[in-house]
Amino acid sequence: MKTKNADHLRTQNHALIELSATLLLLGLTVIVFVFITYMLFSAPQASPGPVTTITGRLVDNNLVLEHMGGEPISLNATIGILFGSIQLQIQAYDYVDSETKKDGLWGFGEQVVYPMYTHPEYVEVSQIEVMIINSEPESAIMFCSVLIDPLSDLSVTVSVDPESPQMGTPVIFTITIHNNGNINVSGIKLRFQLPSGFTFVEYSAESGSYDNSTGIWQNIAMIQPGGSAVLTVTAIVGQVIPDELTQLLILLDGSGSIRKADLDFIRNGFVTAIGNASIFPRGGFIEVTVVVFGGNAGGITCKVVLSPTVVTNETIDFVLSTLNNISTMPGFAATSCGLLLGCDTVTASSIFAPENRHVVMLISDGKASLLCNIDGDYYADTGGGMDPVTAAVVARDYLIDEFGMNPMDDEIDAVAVHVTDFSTYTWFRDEIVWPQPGYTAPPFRIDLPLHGFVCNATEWSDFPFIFKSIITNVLNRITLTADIVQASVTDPKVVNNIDGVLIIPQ
Amino acid sequence: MKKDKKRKLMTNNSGVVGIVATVLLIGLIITFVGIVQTVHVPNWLKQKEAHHMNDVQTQFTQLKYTIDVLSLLEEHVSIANYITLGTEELPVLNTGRTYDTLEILSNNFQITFSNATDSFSLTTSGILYSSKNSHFVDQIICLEAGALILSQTPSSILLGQPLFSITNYTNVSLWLFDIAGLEGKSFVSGYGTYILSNEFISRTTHRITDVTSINISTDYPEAWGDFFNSSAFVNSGLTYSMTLGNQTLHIEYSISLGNFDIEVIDIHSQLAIWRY
Repeated sequence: MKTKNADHLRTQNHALIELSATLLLLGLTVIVFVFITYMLFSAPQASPGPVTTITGRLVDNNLVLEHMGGEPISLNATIGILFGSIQLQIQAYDYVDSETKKDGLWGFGEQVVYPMYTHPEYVEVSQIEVMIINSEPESAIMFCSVLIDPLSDLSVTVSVDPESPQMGTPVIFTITIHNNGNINVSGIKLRFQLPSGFTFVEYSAESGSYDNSTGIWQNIAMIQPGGSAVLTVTAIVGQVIPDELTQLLILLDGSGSIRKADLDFIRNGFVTAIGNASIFPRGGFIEVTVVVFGGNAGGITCKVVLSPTVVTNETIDFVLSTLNNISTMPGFAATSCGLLLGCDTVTASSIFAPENRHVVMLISDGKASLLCNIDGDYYADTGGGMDPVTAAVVARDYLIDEFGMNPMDDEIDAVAVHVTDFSTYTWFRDEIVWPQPGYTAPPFRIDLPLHGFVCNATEWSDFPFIFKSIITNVLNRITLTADIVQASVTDPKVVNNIDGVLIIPQ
Repeated sequence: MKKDKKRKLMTNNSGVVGIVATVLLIGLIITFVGIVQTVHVPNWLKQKEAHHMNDVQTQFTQLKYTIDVLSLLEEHVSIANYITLGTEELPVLNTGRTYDTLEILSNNFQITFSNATDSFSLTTSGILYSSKNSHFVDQIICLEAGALILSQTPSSILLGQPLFSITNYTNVSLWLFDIAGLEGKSFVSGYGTYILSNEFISRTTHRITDVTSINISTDYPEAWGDFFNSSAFVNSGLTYSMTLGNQTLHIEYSISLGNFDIEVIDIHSQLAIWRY
């Protein structure tokens, strides 16, 4: 009986221990499971939503959020925009294009564009905070700060009435500032300086004041997008003394096709135009250089007929007598050689500076037919794969670089004499004259930046008249420019912040 | 006899409790592992593959930098860049390895500059990386004529623009790279880090004046559209219209460009295996 009781008790104890152990094990397992589950499921995940790269930037006063790769997200995504004291909450769907809306997803390469310019006060703060929240599953996609750099697009236009005024008569300049951008712009200052020979009469402006002594128009009222401000200035046209040195380089094709009679017309043209003080100023503002080109393979191809000489009353006789004794050269048109020699001669002048005005006049009756490489000498080369026509263009580009030419002041023009082949004419117009695009003159254009021109002379006998009209135009025209010098907002498109007109007093 | 049976039953009951506990335990572990495998592992792999895509983008940025510098130095030396293909598997779980491809393409890009009377055409080759992801979206990274492009079919964006400059408002200088592969060493596919050796060969300048239109044939017209719409072009005052086709881009300038200098840079590249 005692043994049976002991057995029963041992069995019960064994069961209890096993039960307790199992319960303990279960309890421990549940605790571990709950802990791991909490860690995996409940703890914040790094990025439980879609893996997406979105970048934010400001473009033309629009906040552009662009999908730069990864998974597409729903267009129901919410975008929070914070700047200054303003908080906005927008839906991506409302600010995407119709193509993006088709699939309801904000996918790769697609943009949400929010017009910040609808909040003019945004220009007052330094940055915009942006947050994008995905809708399903709800998760943060992006936080970023976009630095504010508001941009405007102002432009200026100048017109003159009449276009060819008489000396001593009034002329009216109309200067208009346009706001082509999408935000208001204030604090604009514009410079429009009358040349010293002009007499200021009056001005009128919708807003702001114009000081004719400084040429500054300022205190202009804020210009709204699409709006404009207009200033008109009336002045009496007078004699203008150039305020910069002009280096005039004349390149004459003296090759074998020029006959003795033609040479007489050329000499006459030079002497008549340059010897006329009313169209060729002698105040020491113009330096003239003349180079003649033409030759045969292996021989000399060009020469300096008139070294750089500043034209004054003291030098004019020497200049005219030199030009009156110009002689031709034999052989072919070595245009590139002439351009290179002319370039090197002018840059070697004691007064040379890239800031000077540079005018190059090429007088020729055909395309280049002999070439010089840029190798320091002016002997004809065999080419090395380059033809004479291309070599001339290369030499012309070399000259433009060496002179540091700019399209507001400098130019290469051409006189095409007795040219019957249209392709030769288009070569002068499209590849030689500068700035491009070139045009046929007369009439001479009065807008800026400049455009190179080609004048056609049917025969050499026409040359004196055409040369005189070119000299009159090139050396007597007056450049008036208006440029925006200040505004409250940065304008990256500076190309249209300056405009000008050319007038040639009659 | 009756007592013997009862004792046996009690012993068996204690055995059943142990089995039940073990089954429950195994069930819990299976459930846990199952949830991890189906919910979390794909998410981890997606993150890992996305991270790998960023790494490759960085490597391609370095590759573009190398080729840009080579073209400026004009030194006939070979410089190596490293591109990593594929992602490693997850530790313990031993899953998630991917395999990518890297290829030096042949004549995949063509650009034609035209003026009123003349035109200049150039065909170039480039380097293309293509991912074969399991969970993250597939991406293509292409170095094409000097432009670094990221593509997720069917669209593309520009990551890095080719070397270029605009002076005097309308004079454009554009550097285009023609990357030629060595026969038999222009394609790899798999997992690992691969060497891409690049050597400068030559540079030639072509000039075309008064360009009025540009035609491009490429798999990534959107990216090239981004380039020609960049602020440098827009702010230079050029006015133009752009037509985007399936594999073409046509740009028509209303005012002709003064001079268009096209610097063509020939580069030789070859692929080699660094390690598996």
